[in-house]
Amino acid sequence: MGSYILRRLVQGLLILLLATILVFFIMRLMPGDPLLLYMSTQDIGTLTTEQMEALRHQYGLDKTLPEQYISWLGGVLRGDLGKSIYYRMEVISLVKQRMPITINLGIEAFILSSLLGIFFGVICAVRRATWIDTVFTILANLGITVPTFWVGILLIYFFSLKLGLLPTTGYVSPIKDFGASIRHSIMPVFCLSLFSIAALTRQTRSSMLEIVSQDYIRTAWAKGLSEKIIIIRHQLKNALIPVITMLGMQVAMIFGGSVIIETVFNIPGMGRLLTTSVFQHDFPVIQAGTLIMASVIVLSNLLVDISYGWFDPRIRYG
Amino acid sequence: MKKILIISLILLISIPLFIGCSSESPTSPGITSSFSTPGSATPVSGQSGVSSPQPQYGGHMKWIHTGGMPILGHAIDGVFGTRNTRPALEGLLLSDEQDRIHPWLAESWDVSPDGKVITLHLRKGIKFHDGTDFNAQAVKYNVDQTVEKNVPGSAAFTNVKSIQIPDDYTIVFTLDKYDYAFLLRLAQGFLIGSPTALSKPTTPENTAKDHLVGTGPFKFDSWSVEQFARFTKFSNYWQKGKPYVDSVEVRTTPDITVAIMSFKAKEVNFVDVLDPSDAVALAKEGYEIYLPPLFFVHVIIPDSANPQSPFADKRVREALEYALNREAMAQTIGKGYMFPAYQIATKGDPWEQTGLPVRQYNPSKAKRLLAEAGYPNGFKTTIVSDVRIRRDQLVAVQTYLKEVGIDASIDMADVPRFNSLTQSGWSGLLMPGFPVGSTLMGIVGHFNDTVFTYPSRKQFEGYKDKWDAVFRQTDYEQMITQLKANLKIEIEEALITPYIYDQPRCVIDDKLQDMNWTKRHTFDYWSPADLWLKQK
Repeated sequence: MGSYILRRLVQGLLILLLATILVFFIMRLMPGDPLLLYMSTQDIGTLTTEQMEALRHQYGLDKTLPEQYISWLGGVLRGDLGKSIYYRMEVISLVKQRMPITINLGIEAFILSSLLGIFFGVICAVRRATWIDTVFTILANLGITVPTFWVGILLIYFFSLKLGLLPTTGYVSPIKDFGASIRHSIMPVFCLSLFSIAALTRQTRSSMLEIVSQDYIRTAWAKGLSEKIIIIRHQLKNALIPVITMLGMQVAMIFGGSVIIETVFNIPGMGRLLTTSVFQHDFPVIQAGTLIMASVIVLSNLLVDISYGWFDPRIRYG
Repeated sequence: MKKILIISLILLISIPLFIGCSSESPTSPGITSSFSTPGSATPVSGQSGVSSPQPQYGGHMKWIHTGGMPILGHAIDGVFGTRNTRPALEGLLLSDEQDRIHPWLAESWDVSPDGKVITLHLRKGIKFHDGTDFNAQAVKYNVDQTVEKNVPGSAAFTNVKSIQIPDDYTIVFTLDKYDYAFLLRLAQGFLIGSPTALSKPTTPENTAKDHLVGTGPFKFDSWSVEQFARFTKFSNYWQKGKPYVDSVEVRTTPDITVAIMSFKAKEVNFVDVLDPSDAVALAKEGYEIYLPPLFFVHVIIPDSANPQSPFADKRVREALEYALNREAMAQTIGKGYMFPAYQIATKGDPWEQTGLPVRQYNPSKAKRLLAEAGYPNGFKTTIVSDVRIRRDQLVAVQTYLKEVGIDASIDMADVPRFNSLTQSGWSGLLMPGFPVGSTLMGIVGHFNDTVFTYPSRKQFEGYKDKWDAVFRQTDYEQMITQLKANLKIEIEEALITPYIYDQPRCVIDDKLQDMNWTKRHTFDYWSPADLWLKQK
């Protein structure tokens, strides 16, 4: 197992390297000078040509592309992710500001989607062909198809504008004010987890239905075990392999979906940071964001693969 | 029973889908008062100092914009734009709607006959929020730090040869050459912070707390990145009796729909920069739409400097103008909030002039001109624009050009690429998404910028000298005369095609008074000291 994990980590590092090289060169080959975004057509923000060149040197943009990449990579190894051109602060500071917010919402969405998605999937499978199964299946299909930004605006319309129950936008840290944090998080977390709940419901239902016809399940019933024991200890555990795979993918989807949700609900997380940086050609932030997102996905996939061994003892890694 | 349940559930789920998809058809705007023609209508009562009732004390004012709040602090921290920092920071001077200069923290100034020595006399007895005296040393410190840190705004001082301080409340700037823009920049964006605070080392997370210390009517209280900035009343403000409200909060959100919902939920008193369709919808619901005294003109710039381009021929450029139905575009796109533009001036601007060619919509004449120029069957070209433009403007122009035989494809650039094109050149028609501000700085800045030089636009004879000459005039009237002369050539030669005027429409609740948003010909301007809330 140890050698397997090491092998996967090395592979992960290679993937990260490739991802950063790809993003680095593609972004820099795209037309558009990020320094020109300093300029304001209202004149008060205009810099002279000499000042522009000084800034270009300050951000290392006057070096060749390979030099810039190596310089950036060296900085990463030293813990220096560079300085944002748009925000004019160290990228590591920006990440420290924004990452906890996205992680907080991401974890809440992940837990909610895992619990509800698996629960609804089990219910659907156990109560197959009943009205419960029909209703939840319809809801799951809706959850996959409706755009999350539209759901978000709808929620704001009903719960904030019409009912006045929840604030329209914003984020409050749970450390600062737990109650306010919950109130601000309800709608964005629900939107963030909606697709995952729907997808997990469908997958869990499908996996459970495959298991239910197995001989050992029939044996369990014949032995007189209770429904609860059969579902949880025998059916669910064996049905979870594909569900776990999907859970790993949900991590990426939750991070990706945070871009839209953070924009709608005005949450200053990593998603919004990355969106703004892409539009502004803020190379250092794009690089750092890519590295972080890719790392999260690589690690989550590794955790998923390792967890297979727990769910299915037949799976062992050499 | 089951069937009824299922059908009920489906109906229940479907209702929000229809609500979400419904749209109102626009009607004429329900604005209570507005500018009927640019620059000439009566402002909304209480919104620009026109016979407003007696201000009342108390309350917490909140407003929201979509401009972002990535960092907060003083200009030396790299903060650009002043809407988020106006409650705490003030400038030495102010401008008016004709870009004339007025005193503020500087109570008067002298300009030497050659215009190269500008002496500012500062108000006495003003303190920064941290108790530091406001004086000439404080001003010089701000200037020196801005220049040293090479931040946007430092270009305002590249023309300054030296700064002297003959006494505590007099500061003398000696310029290499006279430049009216120097005074305008002091009036429209250079804000003063406490030198005690600015000299304190800080981190990017703490620039607001450490550096946002000024002479303004409110002290910095707290902020959250890309969310809000809060300020509380400064009891020792130099304008006695002000401010009126206890606190102000500036919020930001990237989505205007959400901002409007926040307003309707009574979370904020004011929302700025509405789309015309949003303004129409809000007016219809009975909300007050505020139209500030600041205009922007949308333009099209042909690549007239490119000898291979059809637009190198003046007749083709004129044809472009005759092809556009400005009145229809203003009415349809603007829904009553935009106006056709034939010159880069609004009614009442000192640089508005008569006698300029007015090339009104005439597709037959456009075709005739194209034929005379050697394009009887039209030609293909590209409209280069950026993501900030309204799509319907772009499509309207493309459609009008098609009608006269000019087949224009659209190249939509992101902002960095678009900015690069204004520096390196383009092919075809350039249609900036961000319009030209119809102010002295906006216009001269557009034509005489040192970075965005629009090299594909033909420059008339003596272009650089004539545009430089605008701000070299020590007399205001002579400055306007020079500006008019330059604009006359640009319009006569059809080197730039203005087509519609726009305003930053806002919605305001009935409690908020005297906010003076974008007054003083300054886009980010508002007056926290003057605003007040009608109490019940």
